[in-house]
Amino acid sequence: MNLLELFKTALQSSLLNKWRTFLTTLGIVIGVYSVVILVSLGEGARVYFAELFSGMGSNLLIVLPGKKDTKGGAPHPMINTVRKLSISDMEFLKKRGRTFEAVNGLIMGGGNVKYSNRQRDLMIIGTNETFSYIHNMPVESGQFISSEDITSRKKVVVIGHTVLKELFQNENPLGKQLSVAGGRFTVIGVMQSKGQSLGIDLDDMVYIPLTVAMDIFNQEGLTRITVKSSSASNVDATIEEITDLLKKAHGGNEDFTIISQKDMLSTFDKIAATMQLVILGIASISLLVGGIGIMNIMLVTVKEKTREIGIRIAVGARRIDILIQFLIESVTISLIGGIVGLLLGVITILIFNSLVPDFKVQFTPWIFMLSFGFSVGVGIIFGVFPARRAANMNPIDALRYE
Amino acid sequence: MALIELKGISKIYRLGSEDVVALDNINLSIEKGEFVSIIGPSGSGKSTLMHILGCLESPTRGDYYLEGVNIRDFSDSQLAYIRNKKIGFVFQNYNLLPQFNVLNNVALPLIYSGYDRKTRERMALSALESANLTNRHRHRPSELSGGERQRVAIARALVNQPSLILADEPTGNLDQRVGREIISLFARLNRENGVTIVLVTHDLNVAHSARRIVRILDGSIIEDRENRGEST
Repeated sequence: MNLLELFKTALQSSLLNKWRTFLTTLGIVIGVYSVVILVSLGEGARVYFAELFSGMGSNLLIVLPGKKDTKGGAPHPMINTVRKLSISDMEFLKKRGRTFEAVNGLIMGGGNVKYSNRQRDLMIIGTNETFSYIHNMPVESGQFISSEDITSRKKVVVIGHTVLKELFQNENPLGKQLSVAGGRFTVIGVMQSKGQSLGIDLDDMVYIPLTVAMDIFNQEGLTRITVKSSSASNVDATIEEITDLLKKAHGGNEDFTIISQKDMLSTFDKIAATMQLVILGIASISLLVGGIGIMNIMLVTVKEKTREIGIRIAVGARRIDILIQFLIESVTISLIGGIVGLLLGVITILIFNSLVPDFKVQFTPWIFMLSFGFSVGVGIIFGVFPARRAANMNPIDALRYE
Repeated sequence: MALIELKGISKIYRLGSEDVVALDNINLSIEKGEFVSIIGPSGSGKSTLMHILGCLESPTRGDYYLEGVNIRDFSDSQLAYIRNKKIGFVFQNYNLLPQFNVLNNVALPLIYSGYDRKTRERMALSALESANLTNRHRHRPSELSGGERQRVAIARALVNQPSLILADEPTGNLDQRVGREIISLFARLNRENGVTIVLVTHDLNVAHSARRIVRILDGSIIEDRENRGEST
């Protein structure tokens, strides 16, 4: 008998006892369901973060003021406030750096932006000419802030796409006067649309020269300095170089923190690994329970079919035929559970994706293979014992069984 | 060459510390095309003899030649092949599969011969015709009368055109009239198709429809004679 027919027979047999089959497969359903959901969530998160990082630009190192992981020891008694990162720190890095190709200083603040009678509260970013290059955010029209704008403290502004839409309602903004935090600025460029990232609308921002922003916000310190290493292999050397240079500039104190994308990724990887362990735990427990359920029901089935086994042996079934018949039956039950679990998982993901459009849970082809493999595996592992019992039956006793 | 040749067949069961001799040094030869009754009271060993003839059980001692081949050292799979191709069983309680319809019950042995579905159905239909059951193919066994069920069982035994049909009390669950019909079906199959039939029974009337009667008692053959003329 070919495999397809065996499956058909097994399916008919399992459908004879619909409720029994359903209850038996519940463990597998839950197991496969949780695997599908959690793996897809994890995959979605991975893709989300990968896109986020690649959107930021590559080989970036972010320098923040203040030491984050202070490794023991009390702070210096004379320094009781965090030393700020200044424009001169930035210039120093720019002048002396050898392993990196660009340095960007940035200061952020909230403010009001106004054009004719429309206004908007949004994020104002003060930065220098390297921002557009470092973060891989080109202008769509006009131009970005230039180094000349910085040194001559020109009141120019580059606007994001949302600002264009909301304030200018898509009329050409170049050369128009825009009121930013009370000052009058000339619009010189429009950024390409970037969309949302981590819940922040990257298009709902305006960019002004760093020097001008520091005046407006009345700040001496930068929010952060971003350094682009010349290549991926140079990132570690760049970290060392920045540390050396800034310590020199800060009188030997390491009062700043350097974060690499690798650090961020490894933090995420740690979370992902923990999550995977949890998945594995949940899945293996429910699959184990499901498997035991299948074994139990298969033992009952073998007992019920004792006479059938006798008849089949009498008309010429080999022991291996009987073994395969019952293995296929347990795999079928398990597979039904796997398919139901997979379908429920897919439906859940589709509903989730339509409710939360920002975060896409990812389908991977191997999730189908995985659930298939899990169910077949459980069916075989927990079906072998009952199937062997069936195959080793004495046909004469089996034929007499009432 | 005899179809079946038993030489010094013994079967001894071990029950606890006691040995029970079910068959004791049986010598029996059955030619192709014979219709033989094996008769004896219950516990005489006739069922054991049938199980050995049907390769469901192996003897403790002795040799069993089937179509001239000693099957003593045959493997499980080889014995399964013989049961499938050479032997058809008919049981007292029919032993049909309740979840299968008539056609699929009859076709069951063919599954293990490796035929495709079309061929199986064609062969099963022709076997049903030989067993005089030409309608009700799609019925379940539970929807049939006892006589009809036994015809299905006979069709199943015939379906692979075996050399030998072993019938174990085939009329035991049937009333006299239907039992006679079944026996005359065996007689016709033997006469017209040349099928060798070995019929195990404790019913003398049934036994007398055969052309040869083997009487067995306490595991030994005590009589083996031709049966002329007498009928039910």
